[in-house]
Amino acid sequence: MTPALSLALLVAANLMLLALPLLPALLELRRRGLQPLHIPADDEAGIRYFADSFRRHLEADLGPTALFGPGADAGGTGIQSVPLPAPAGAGATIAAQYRFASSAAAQPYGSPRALTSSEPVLVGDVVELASGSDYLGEIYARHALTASHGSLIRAILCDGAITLGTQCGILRWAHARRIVVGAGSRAMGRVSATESLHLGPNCAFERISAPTILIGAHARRDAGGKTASPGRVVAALTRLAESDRLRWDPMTHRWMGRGLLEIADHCAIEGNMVVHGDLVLGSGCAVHGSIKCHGSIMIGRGTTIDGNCFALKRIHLGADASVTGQVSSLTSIQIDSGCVLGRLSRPASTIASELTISGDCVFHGSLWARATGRTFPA
Amino acid sequence: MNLLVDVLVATLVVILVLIVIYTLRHYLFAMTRVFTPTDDLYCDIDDADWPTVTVQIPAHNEEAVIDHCLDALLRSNYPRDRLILMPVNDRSTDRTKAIIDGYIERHPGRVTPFHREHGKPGKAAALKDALALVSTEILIVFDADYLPSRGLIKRLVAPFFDPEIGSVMGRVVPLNAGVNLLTRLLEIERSGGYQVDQQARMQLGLVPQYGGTTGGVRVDALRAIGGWHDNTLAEDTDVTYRLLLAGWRTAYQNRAECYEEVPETWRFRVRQIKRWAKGHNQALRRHFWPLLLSGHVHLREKIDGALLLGVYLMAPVLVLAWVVIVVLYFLGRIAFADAVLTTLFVFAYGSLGNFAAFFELAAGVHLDRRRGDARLLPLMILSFLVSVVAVSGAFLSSLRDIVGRRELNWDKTARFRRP
Repeated sequence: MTPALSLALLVAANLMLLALPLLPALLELRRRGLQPLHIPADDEAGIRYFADSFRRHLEADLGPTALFGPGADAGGTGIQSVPLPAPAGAGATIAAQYRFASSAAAQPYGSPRALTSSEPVLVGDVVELASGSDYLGEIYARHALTASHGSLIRAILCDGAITLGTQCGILRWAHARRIVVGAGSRAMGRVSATESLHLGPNCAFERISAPTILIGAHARRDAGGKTASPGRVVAALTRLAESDRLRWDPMTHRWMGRGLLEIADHCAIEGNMVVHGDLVLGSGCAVHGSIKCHGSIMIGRGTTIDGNCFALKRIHLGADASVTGQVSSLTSIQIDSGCVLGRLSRPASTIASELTISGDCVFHGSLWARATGRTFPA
Repeated sequence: MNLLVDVLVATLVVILVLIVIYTLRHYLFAMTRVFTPTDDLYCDIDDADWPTVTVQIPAHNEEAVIDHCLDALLRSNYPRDRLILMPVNDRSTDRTKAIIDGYIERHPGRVTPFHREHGKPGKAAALKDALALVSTEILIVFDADYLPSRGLIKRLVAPFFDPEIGSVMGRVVPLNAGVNLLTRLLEIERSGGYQVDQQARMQLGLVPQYGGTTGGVRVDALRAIGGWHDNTLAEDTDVTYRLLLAGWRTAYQNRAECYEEVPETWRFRVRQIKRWAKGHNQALRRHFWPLLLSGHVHLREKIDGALLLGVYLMAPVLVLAWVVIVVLYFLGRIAFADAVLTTLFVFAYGSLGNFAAFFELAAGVHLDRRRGDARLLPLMILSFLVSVVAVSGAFLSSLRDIVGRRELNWDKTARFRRP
């Protein structure tokens, strides 16, 4: 081998070595038709996304007037009345009582577009599931759906009221005008109502939304609208109250706190507050402003906050407390009996990894438990 | 001679320490994003009493893209009675004004334009003038080539319910990513920059940066700090630091995503980098010491904020390190092997520690599930070298501007979409 050839081979070998890591890149560059990174349409994250998609599928299959138009009945749908089949491979039986318009027959139908489970979609005017029923397909009930004790349902769209008995379960989503979930039930996935939603005690939930959400056995719709009573205020937090842990920041026009900040009972606070530590608000306080806390927040009995409440750690709302705006924690929120969050005219979101609600409470807006949401009796 | 060598060695040591600091910082960011959950206080806010918002779209000769942006904004699900769409026509000489006026006719009451006929050129100057017309609580800004999704405004507004938040930044995603090598590399770079860098800074309580588009500011806070400054090329970085120094935080929202158009030619990419670098270094000069001396900014924010201010300084510093190594070598003061090792160590900044660096970029494409992009990572060395040259050039240009007391010129990014 001549020296020139040796040198050429050496150079070639080195170039090959250098090019080796680039080979996958060069192959990748040959790929055509690359789409930009998908940005999910924001509807996909919306609480009614599944319900709205399901409705569109139904309309596409059956025609909008057949199911949803005024005076629609079985005659216009073209669906043949057949007995309700048992779920394929599930080995379970469905004991359901059902009616469709004037016909006393179930109306299952199958469409690959409409189905997200292997079960047929159950379509009915008034659907009644007997105790212990499981139905793992989607259900559309035009007027009402009633499920007795121990029923398990995958997904429901109802233009009227959904009433679930005790120990029932919703696995993926539900949407109706009104929803009542009995004690000990599980309302998992996205559950929403256009008017009201009532969740009994000992229930589990993930994400629920309605103009009015009643929690507990005796929650009352008219419990909202609490405002601070000026007569109850015995001390006002003013700029004169500045201390080493609390000062008024004129640049941002808000109270700045640090360390463990304890506000006495029946204090009135005007303005926003940012606390770099933990905050304890006494009972009967009235806060006209929003709170941000880098630690945890304890809100005393009967305290009202006309604003939002954010904490990086735990939030505890004492009995009969009220917050008009957003309540959000990175970890957990515990809400005691008698609390009212949001207003009918000002819906708000309550968000945490763990949401625990004791007793009877009222919410206007949405509740989102990223990990677990639970209701308990008082 | 000995003194010169000592100075050079000391310089090299300082540079290497800086490189190590940046390397550790970005390792921390990448590890944080890969291994920790991304819970957020604001992104799940659904139901709310939404505040009033003005959306401004600064547009200087944007006839190719402005209608796409306005169409997208008109589809927004934000309450109509609380949303003002305000295209800011900044001395356009093309059809931009006519296009905007067409929207006013077709959508009466929904578009409130600001036609700016005269005044200082540049986005910051246009925004400064337009701020006088804002009467809402929140101001959102989109560049004219952006395509906001239906729910984006709600996602950007949600953090403002937090009384500590002064500005919000969303995520930018290239729409024309598949056009050529440059756009694909820029997609990777954006992925690392937003999905990893910004989000990690948000999670760690550091200093996410308001980016001037796909973001918003609290109008009261902006006015309290003196509004937009029109003598800066990076009004976004400038506002981020002025808000921070005034006690406001910036929130980054990774799920508030918006498509943009990235440069499709290296020429325009270099011009873009140079503008960013000059503006950023201007912010470094203005805010470095006030930040470090601030009495109420948290220590971790001071450290991260200072490092963030210095990112565009690292390229000329890197070039300086190469020069020092070569000089030391020819002075015969360090062995060849040492020089090679040191060079490699310096190069490690490019592969491990930089904003656009491989490790962070790999984490970004992993999180975005773009496996194809991962194969392109070796080619990022090309982008890295171009950046080093462009940023170093911008640094020298800035020095000339300072010495010559020349005013900085706004250099508009070219559009590649056709009208």
